Amino acid sequence: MIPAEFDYYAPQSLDEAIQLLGEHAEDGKVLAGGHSLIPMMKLRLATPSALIDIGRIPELRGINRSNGTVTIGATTTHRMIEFSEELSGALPIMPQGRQRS
Amino acid sequence: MATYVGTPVKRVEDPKFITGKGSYLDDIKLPGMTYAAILHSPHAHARIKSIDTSKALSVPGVIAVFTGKDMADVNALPCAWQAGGVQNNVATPRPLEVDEVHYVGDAVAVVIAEDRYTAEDALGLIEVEYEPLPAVVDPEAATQEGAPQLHEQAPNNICMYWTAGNKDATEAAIAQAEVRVQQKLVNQRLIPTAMETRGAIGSYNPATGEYTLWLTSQAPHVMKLLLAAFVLNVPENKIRVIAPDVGGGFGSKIFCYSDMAIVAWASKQVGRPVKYVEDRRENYMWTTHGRDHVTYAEIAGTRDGRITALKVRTYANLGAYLSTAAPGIPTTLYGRMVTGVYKIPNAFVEVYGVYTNTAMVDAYRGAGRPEATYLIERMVDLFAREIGMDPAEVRRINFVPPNEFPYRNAVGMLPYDSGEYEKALNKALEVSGYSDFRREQEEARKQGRYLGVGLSSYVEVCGLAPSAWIGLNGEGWGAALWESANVRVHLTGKVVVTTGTLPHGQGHDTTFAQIVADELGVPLEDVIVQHGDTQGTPFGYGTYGSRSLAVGGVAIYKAVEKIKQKAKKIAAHMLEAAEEDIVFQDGKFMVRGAPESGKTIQEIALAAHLGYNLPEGVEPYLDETTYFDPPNCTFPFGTHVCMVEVVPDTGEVKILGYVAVDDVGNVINPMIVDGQLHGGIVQGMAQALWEHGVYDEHGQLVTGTLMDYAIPKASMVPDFKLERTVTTTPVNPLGVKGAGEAGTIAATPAVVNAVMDALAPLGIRHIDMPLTPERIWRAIRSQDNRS
Amino acid sequence: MATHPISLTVNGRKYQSEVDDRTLLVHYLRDHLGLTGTHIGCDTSQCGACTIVMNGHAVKSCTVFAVQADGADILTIEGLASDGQLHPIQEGFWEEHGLQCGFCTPGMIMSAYDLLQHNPDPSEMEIREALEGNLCRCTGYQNIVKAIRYAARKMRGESLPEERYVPEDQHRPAAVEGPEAVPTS
Repeated sequence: MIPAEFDYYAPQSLDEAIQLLGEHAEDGKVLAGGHSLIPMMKLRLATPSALIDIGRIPELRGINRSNGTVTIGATTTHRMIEFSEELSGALPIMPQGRQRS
Repeated sequence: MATYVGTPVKRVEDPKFITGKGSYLDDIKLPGMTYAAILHSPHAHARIKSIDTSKALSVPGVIAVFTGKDMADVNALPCAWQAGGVQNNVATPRPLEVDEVHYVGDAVAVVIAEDRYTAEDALGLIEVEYEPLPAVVDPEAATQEGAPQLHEQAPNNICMYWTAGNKDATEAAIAQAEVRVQQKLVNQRLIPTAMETRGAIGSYNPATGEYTLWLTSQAPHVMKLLLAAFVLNVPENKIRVIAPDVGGGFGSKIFCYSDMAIVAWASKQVGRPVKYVEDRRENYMWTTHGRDHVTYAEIAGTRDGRITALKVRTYANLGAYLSTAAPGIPTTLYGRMVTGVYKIPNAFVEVYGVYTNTAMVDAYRGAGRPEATYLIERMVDLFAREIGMDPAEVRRINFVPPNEFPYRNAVGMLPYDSGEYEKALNKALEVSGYSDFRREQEEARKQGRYLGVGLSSYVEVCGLAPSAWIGLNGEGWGAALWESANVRVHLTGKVVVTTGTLPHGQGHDTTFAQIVADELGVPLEDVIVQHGDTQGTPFGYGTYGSRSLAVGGVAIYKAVEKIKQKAKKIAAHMLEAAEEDIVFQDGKFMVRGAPESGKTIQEIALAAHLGYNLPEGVEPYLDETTYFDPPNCTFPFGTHVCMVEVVPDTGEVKILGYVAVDDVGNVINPMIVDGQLHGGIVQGMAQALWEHGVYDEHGQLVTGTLMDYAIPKASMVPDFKLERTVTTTPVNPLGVKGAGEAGTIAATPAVVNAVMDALAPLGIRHIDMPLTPERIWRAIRSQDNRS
Repeated sequence: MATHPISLTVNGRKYQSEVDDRTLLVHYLRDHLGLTGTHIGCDTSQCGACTIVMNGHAVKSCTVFAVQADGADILTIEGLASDGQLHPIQEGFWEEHGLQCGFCTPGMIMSAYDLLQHNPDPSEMEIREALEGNLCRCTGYQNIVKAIRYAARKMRGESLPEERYVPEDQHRPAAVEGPEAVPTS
């Protein structure tokens, strides 16, 4: 249950992340929540040479509502969706769906 | 005077566990410790053509890589319980296989490295050339002509053919019977899944030639004996085994495993301690599984409900090799219990123990008795349905009556010690509101809803066991099953109890202290219970088979009795009275009728230690050891009731309620007993509804992780309503029967019978476990198609 | 072998370490910091024995790399008791026999901690659902639920029932989902 070796990157901005992804296009993977990827890596079913952790990029996280549009950032967690007041107002099926799953 | 026995004393074990200060095997670090990673076969059946370890050896941090050839002077693991009275075609695993592998999980190499990450990296670089061979996974299919053969010495993959009961009389009774019901029943393979996986640490001292092993074992002394005498060929007094805190076992940690031999041997080779800890994937592949029977059963009787005969043929899957106790489970512990709580005059059971290319099967909570109880309780329900009688009534008619104990069943079990089966049934029916539920059920059916109620009246055998009966000339267990206890009262009045049992969640430290504290009149906190280290302690057989209290606890009680006998002598001497005038009352040894004269055990312990003035012939100290060989097993019993609703559109089962009435004899700590029942019931329910260890036809373990194997979660199970009756046993002076496995044994048929009762109006007779929504849905659909 | 420096706070103490990129947080806690109360029970993030609280939320430390915990504030089972006083959740587990072998217990307690932070008065079903990520093989969960209810009461400052173990508590009508009332007409 030990992952193979890899290099870890934690970009602080979207630009940095995109650049790293470009550099590691062949064998790199994005790390967000990691709860599908990391178990696969522990079973060595996935052996990326690089992990680009996008969890520290502030603009990727969060739920925004403006001008009739709801935007959910890529690293928004299930929990944030479940408890989001924005979504309960605008798209209640999402928090409800999250609760049921 | 505090009385502890019978009260729900908080566990003395808990403070360390709730603060994260337990010491489980993987928590143990030794100076210079190395880490082992084991390479397992990916094939269910294959010849090993070659193993190239050179790439693995070149990884920095790798100290050694060993294969089976390196371990040539280590023996194969022993099978210590071969089925009694019959030929056993024995095949056991080598710690690392040399020529052939027989299941996915069979071990072929080990890497020893500085850390576990490196060890696992190196594992991936070992190159093994296999020649795959055909595999067979079903126990019945494995006995047929043309099936792949696992072991030369076991033609048709049969380890043993074993019978009990009277074949002719049974067949005659069936032939004459008014009612005959036949059914094929599958008791599916389960994976025990203790939350802590297994591990082993080996450490060799070249200066003394002694090995110290830390093992996640339910039976450390037995491991010491087996590893010394059978596997490693070292003197029995040169191995010390320590079982630290063990995180659950359920039987899977009883046995002698390859990694135990590997770490011991390897620690000598590399000159440093070696630690191995299974990951869960490995635990699922190669730690023992449970159950896995295919059974053809026939029950026969009269139209008015009396059962006259039971005939059973079972194919018991033993796996690729024999685990330490494997043949004993489907024979002694299953075959001899198939008649259950019923007075069935004619019975015959035949068991084939079969090798297949799957993980080894051995005892798993209940060990044979869940299989027996499931069998008889399903057959009784099918019989009841056939004659149109309420299943509670059929049970009542056929119970062994209270005045017929000790009772010998028709398949050769020891006599059942005591029982009031009808009392437990009545209580269960009353508490569950059975008749009300039947009315609700009828109403619901009119509304197109399917409610069901299922009963399970069980008796089980535990408190294993009288040594001569279970031993080599009897049921075939290769040693004994008495239990040891040592009790010392130290100078300052503190008491240390050493037990040969091995608690792994059952709270022995508390329960045993309760008994001793009451018997000696000391505060509970003055009694410490120790276990698990074979150094300097009497041999003990460990914890399984619900034996710890009924055998181990009784041994402790008897050791305390010896202490009190000696204390009486010393008190008499101190009080200048005759020994027969001394009584133990209110915590003091006093002259009868003169309480002011009394001496506490602490005062006597001080005098005994100093030895300045002891009576003639009495040695210093209060220190007594007992080995208790029980005269019989014990037979807890009860009735469980499960109420369900089945939703036909989805196959979903909703558990509406669950009532358990259990009789475990006298209860020392009711809170602990209830906890054992809760956990046991959930495991039994899980077999009925969710769990299934599945191999595909190539012998690949499909349910290889917790993603695929459905261990119940908190949201899946209800609360349970527990009740008790108390029928003491004449077998031991504490009147205790044992409680660790009863929940699991009873629950499975209660749940299955409930679901089948719900589905009865749809014409569905039987569905094999687990009763997943898919299986129920399919059964309903195919019934629809038929009608 | 790629490594990174990390700084984090664990149970109120600051640590600075150099870790391999692939070191799992659970191994960092257990092997590097010697905090062996957090356990490993599976490979696939089902069992929850490794549950800790990271930045205020329950997290399965077997599915996080130590490098991801740079800058984090972590609470493990060892940090729960303070000044020798057990946390009410620990007390609840002891009082209500919410553990047997103890292996799942630290993770169970940390999940309960997270639950009660966010929901101080959970129903039985809410407790059971919150524990879906924590497997126990010994207790059957009934007493774990009781333990958490005990803790919740204590943490809300409510009085606790006088008798700790009441056999009649076993006799509550038991249902996960009760049947809808069957119409009598």
